[in-house]
Amino acid sequence: MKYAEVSSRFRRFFELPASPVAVKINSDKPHDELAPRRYCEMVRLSASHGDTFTFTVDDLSCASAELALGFEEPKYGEVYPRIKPADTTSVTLAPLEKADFEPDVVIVIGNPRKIMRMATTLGKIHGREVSSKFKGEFAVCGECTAIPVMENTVNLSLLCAGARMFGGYEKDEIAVGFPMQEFEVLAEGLTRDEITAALCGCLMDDLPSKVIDTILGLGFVKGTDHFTGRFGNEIVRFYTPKDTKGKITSVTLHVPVKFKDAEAAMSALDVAAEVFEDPMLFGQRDNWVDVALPVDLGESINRAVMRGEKFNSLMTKGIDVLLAHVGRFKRKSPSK
Amino acid sequence: MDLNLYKNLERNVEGVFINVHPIQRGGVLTPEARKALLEFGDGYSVCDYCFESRVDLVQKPPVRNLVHDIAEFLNMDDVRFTAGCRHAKWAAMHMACEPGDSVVVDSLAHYTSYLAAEANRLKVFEVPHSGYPEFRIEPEGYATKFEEVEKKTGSLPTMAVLTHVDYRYGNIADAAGVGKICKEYGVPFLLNTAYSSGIMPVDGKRLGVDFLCGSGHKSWAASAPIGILATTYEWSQQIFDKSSIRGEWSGRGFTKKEVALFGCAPVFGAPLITLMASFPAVVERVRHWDEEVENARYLARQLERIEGFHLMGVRPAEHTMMNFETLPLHEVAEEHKKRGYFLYHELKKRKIMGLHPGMSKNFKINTYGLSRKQVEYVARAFIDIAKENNIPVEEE
Repeated sequence: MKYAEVSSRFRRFFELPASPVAVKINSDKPHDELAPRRYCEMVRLSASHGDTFTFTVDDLSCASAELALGFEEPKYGEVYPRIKPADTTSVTLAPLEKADFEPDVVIVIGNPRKIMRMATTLGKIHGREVSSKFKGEFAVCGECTAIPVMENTVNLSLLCAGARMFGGYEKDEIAVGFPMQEFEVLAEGLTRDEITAALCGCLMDDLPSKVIDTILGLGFVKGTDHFTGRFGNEIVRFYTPKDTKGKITSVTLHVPVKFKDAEAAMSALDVAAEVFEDPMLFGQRDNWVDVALPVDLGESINRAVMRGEKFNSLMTKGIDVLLAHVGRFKRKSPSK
Repeated sequence: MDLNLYKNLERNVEGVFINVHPIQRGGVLTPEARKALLEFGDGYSVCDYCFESRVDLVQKPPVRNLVHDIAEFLNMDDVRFTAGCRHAKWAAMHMACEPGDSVVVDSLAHYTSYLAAEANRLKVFEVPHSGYPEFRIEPEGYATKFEEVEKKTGSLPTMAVLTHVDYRYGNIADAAGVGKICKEYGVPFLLNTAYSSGIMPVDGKRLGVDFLCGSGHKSWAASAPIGILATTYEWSQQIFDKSSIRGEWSGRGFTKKEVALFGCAPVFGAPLITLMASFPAVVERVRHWDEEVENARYLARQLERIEGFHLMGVRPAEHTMMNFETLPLHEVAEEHKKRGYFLYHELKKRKIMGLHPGMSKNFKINTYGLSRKQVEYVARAFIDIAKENNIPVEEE
């Protein structure tokens, strides 16, 4: 059951009540003894009830599916979409978790919100839009099966009247067909945080990834609430304070300087007052003197990091200024 | 199914490892609680002599006494047991607020404070903290936020929530200061004491608290899940309001059952009995809080001998749960074949457990209830690990 895990992960992630359905064209399996049914109905039963089917054209009760699945060549004019040449002998369907064959196509039934999330995720993986061709005819058989097989593309379907009337599809359901390889790419993408953490760009953290990446690029690593980085012999802390409205328009760079005890730290405050000029801040915390340099960005940090070199140069200069002052403070504080 | 997985379950921690887990120290069971847990481990085991249809009224074992004694211990008026501190917060909000109301919380609040508000469909407004390195919550922030909420929504918030000891830095917030402001504004005050009551003295009335929520398994030497919801008589009828529902066909009613607590919580029998069995030890141990803090400060002093180790939060440490930033460990981890897990493995080799596996940039550690000798051992272990990995260590 190599697909059991992938099906479960996919269903859980996209909150799907039904299973993705694996479809194999040209199955050489002996076909089941079935009462004639529609293809779309069998897909629905496979998704919802876990049924498996191997059927031939004799088991089909829908002429559209006969053409779309490549059992028959059209007699009058061309039909689109369809599998061609029409040399299909049988088709096997199974819920993906039960598939013991390599599927050609995986069909997923869901509501528009859930399928929207699939499209967003796929778009993030490929870095482009998902294109689809549909007109509400030959839906499950053509739009969700034949197009993925013939054109090797993911295809959305709003379903067709037959599927809705006879196939058991709910009013709020639509379907999408994936070539197997594309389905695997999508399922694999669900394990990647950078793909799934913010599906449509909504912020899942208090700092956008661009800001984080820029700060990391300066030589810091991210902690829980702040960043730390080693610059020469000093460890500098990079903090992003928020104003009362929750906006970040400045950053603070910190170096805590350790003294042997609280008394020594207190006696160093006079030196600190002399060394640390405005806008630098300092304060005693037990046996440490915290030194901080606020850097005003004049705009939100999201915009500031877009300035690239300008932002980096501002920060690098800030770090240099801070370290130069801290160096002087340490030299002038004999009791350290 | 491999049912063998569930056989012979063992933890192999007690007596083998020194556990410094940030959230486990205050919940370590007393020997009395372990014994009682075995005795009352069955489902509904505290209900042998239930005559009143509610677990808090059971007299044998003496739950009814415990309710009164815990209320007295916390200097509150009335107490109930909940599924945990989070359930206590949810219950207080549920009974004191209406959907759409506003609550003000400190910005270091535990996530369950936010979720309790969310589950009750309340709007959350946050009191900012002071940022790096102290992350301090100033009581005046509540007054500012109350006025902001009134300006935005047209009315004062329905509740103020303060995390007495925050789970991130172990700072002790000025609860009395917030309580005073809440009284001035007439805003009911909920204090989350998940990391304070049960390990350090907490006096609800002196702090001006209306609702006090505690965690048995975090700080009262009890098994999970058990929480405490204490309130004053001003609120107890509303918070512990009884059921008034009737079956429309059967006419059945449950007028003794308290709505927000799902009537009765006999399913908490086993953890409740551990809370009870540990209670005498808890009453005693809070008297020694100063010694506990001194142990924590000792560890902080020792760890800060290691280059780049720096205690975040208010200094000196106010609580036994502390958060250290440790960039040099991260630098070692970058080169180490076990990556960030090297620290976890090095500590495990030395029979120390409880640091979050994979963490190396910073970690939280809790010394509560460890002997001075154990704390010294932990300090030595970190110093040895630092030295072995060429991280400079100051001489004493």
